[in-house]
Amino acid sequence: MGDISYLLPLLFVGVGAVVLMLLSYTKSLSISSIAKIALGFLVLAFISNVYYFGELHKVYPYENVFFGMIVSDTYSVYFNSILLVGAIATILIGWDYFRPDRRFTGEFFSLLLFSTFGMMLLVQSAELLSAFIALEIASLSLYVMIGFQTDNIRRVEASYRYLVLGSLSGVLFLFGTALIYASTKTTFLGNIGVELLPQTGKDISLAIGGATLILITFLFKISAFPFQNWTIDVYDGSPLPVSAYMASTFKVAVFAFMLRFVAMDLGYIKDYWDGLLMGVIILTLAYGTFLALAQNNLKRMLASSSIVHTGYLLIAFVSIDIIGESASSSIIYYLIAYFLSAMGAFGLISYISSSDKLRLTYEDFKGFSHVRPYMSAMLSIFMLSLAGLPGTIGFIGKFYIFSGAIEAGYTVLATSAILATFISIYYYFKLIALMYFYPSPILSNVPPLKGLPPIFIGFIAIAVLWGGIGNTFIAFFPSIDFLIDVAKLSHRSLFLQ
Amino acid sequence: MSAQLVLSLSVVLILALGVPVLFLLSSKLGPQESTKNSKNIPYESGITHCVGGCDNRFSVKFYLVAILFVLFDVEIVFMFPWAVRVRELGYFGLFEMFAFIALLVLGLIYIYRSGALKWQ
Amino acid sequence: MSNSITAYMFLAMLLLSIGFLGVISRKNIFVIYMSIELMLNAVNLMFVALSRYNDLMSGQIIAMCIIAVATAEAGIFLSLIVVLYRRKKSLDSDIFNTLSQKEAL
Repeated sequence: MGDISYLLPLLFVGVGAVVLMLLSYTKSLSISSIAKIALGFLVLAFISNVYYFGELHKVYPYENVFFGMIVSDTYSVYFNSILLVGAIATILIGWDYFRPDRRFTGEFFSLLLFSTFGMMLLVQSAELLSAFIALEIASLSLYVMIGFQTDNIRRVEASYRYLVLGSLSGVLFLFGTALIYASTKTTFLGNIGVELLPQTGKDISLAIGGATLILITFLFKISAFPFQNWTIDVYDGSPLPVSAYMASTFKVAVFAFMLRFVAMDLGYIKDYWDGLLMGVIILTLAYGTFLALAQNNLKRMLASSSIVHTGYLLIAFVSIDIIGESASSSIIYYLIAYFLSAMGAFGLISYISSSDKLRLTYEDFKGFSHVRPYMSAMLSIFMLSLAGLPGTIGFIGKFYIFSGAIEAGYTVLATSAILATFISIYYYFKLIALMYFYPSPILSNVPPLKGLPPIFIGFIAIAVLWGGIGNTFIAFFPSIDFLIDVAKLSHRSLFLQ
Repeated sequence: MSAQLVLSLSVVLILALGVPVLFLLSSKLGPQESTKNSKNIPYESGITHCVGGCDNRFSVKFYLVAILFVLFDVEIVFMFPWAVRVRELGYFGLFEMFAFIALLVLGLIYIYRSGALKWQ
Repeated sequence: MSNSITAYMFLAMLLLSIGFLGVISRKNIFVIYMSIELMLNAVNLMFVALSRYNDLMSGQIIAMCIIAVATAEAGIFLSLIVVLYRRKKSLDSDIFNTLSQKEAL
């Protein structure tokens, strides 16, 4: 197969988005059949993507058309798989949330596919401008998805808030690109690093400023400390499946691009950031923990705890130039762990509230295990994994990050993170305790366990447990070791010629 | 325990306590509410008394069509660089431009189907 | 100075700062939108000037792509402003406080 086989995943998602856009006003198509078409395109893309999974390669498809702006390597295949699973999961867990609501039309699924397309393009882009365009495709679709129910003022306000701050950070990204362009006369990822080598004897202060501005955009998108205030409000204001989508996939895509950028080009500049990033991490952990402790609403608690998880991820990000391959593989593994646990938790809560669209607080879950024992078991698994208890995938993810940080000599960061983990047990276990240790159930009108979403969420719960203990049961079935090996391989593929 | 470790741990604890206090103060320290009504009009320092009626409402359809016009209008910027090099690019450039316009036409079909162009 | 790249950079920085100040200090959502557009155009100016200075065409193409992206952003911004205005009958960003922290705590 030629170059086209490397672009098939992108093509399927893009074509699917356009087809759904054109189909969205066909009267005879119900919303569930449109969702099925969207799922079909995503599954096709996933299959064509998995074909190259774990194979060491780096190709610039159609170099005479795209001029090396798009790259396909082991790294991008790995991240595309996560993003596609995220999009599929969003449709599946939102199945009962979208269907009864007449306001979700076919355009919503088209936007979901456009957003996924943008994120995949971001993972595959090998140039700063194409990265910016991909970032904007992904976020512009997200702004509309958040404010899709225009009759609900909370949605529109969340969308507006995200739009203003998001476009501001987009401008900073462009400004950074302009400074790098001024300093190196190029915007291609491989070439920037060559221009910045100390041997050239050039003054690289402009490039440092530019790269720092791009770092700020990156910190904004993953909601690290000084730029975290939007997160809770926006997640809270958006529909639950969209919050799940934002929390899991967007962070993955942005991290993927930044890791590629830093690994390929900014080796010399990253030293200037170390002090800055250490401060950012400690503040992110502290402030995220404080916010999570203060929340009473479950959705807001999950949003605040996602800030804390950003802090853990950044620890591995700092140590990347010291322990290299193992740092980036621990980031990738933690992203998968967080992705599964958050997707499961958000999905289950959106399923529980799908019939009456109430905002769930801790109090609502008193005695929940007596009405819905299986649901409380699944919710407990996700909370345990988010808190990082042994036996779940979250523990392995945290273990790799903390041991990597200690190996790289960042004891301070590791200790702060462990402290934050200890405190986090409080707000995660509060929910479990309320579910099991109160006699009388408060929440009524919970949909029973049937249909597509609970099956899928149960599947995620099994995956969370499998990631924690899988290897001890069946030796040759793909599990943690396999994922880690492929993650290391993808890190290596960044430096292929 | 190294000194740095103690320092950073205390930073975590102090921030967890100190940030909420700053948070409560922020409404006192932040931007103050503007009492002047003139800050909310489109031309802050210009036209206050316009000739004729300036407060008659337009139908929201005008805004919709204007936004759609801007979106399609600006896509022309991609045709200028192509037009400058059209001979050198040859059939490759021609094909790319047709692909680009085809995408725009797909967008137009979507707008037509969604009924945004109907004037009722 | 008048004939060199410095003048263009100076102007671009000035526009960028004015735009940034507008975003953080204004309360009218329409003015906030205009400030963001101003910042984007400042970056455009920077790219075009740099590309002319270095005798490279890439900067000008980048500027054109930025114009197109800015338009897409404008579409969403303007339609959101229309929606918000129809709901609240005001352009003051202070009254968009349904999501504020105090209510949820």
